[in-house]
Amino acid sequence: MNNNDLQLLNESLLVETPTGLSEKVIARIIKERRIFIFRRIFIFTPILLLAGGFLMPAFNVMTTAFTTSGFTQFFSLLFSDFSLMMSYGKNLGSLLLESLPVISLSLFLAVLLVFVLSLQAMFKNVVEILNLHAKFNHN
Amino acid sequence: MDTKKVIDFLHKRFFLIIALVIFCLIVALVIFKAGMLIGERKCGFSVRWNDNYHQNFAPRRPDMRQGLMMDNDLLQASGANGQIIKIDGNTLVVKSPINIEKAVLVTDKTIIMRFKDTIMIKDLLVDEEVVVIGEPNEAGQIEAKFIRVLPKRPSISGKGFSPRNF
Repeated sequence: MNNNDLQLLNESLLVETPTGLSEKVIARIIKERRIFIFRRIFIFTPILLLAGGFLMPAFNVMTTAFTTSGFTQFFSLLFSDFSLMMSYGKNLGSLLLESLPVISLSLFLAVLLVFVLSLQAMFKNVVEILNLHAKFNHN
Repeated sequence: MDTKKVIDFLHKRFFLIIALVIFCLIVALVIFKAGMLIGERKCGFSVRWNDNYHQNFAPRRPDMRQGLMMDNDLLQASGANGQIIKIDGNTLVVKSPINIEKAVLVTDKTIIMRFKDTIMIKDLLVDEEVVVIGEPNEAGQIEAKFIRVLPKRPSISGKGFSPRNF
């Protein structure tokens, strides 16, 4: 801490604040904070519900794509014919890449990402509002 | 800015960030190249399959737009899966779950497996479900290297569960 900082601190300690000002300031900060959190909850709830609603259809589309493209059957060869697949590793590798349902998989992962992020945001907001409640009641 | 801080940043973060960027670029380029190779292979096979359709399957050329959408926009060139709908000499016609027929050429080197037994092409039956691994040829066919006959899945009612498959 340099000299200027020390001087500022000493002067600030000498200033007398009106009675109840600090309580009012804290109450206002809590109120503003609560409004901000509710605003965030208002934004994230529809996103969370929408992503949650799309999660199962996206999962179904992905599993259907994996089945119809034959990826699961080609992949199962690794377990049923492992030693032979070592000889045809290049062919099997190409086949797995060719049959990977990239669009369906990307779609599902995108929906999952939005769902997880909005869930995290909701969880964070709820925790924050509970903390504020606890603090406010305590004060 | 303090010279020591700059040196410290260069020492701790800058080279690490540069290395990470280069690594990400290499990974992206490898994935891009793999996508190009796979796309070229699938596209080439799809074109040859379409051009030779009348020779391999029927006089009528199918509408490529039917059933080929989203992830199934192009045909897999290195294999096939589905039901055998025709056995003609050394050629099998396999219908995929999205109703695309593929001609599979069985050669002397092809290994055909049903459970733990190695079988011949004459032992294969129409309606059996198979998984084929091979290489595409110029005639729009797949030259099979390995064929695995899959066991028929039993339905809930028990129909379709035939002892002949065992």
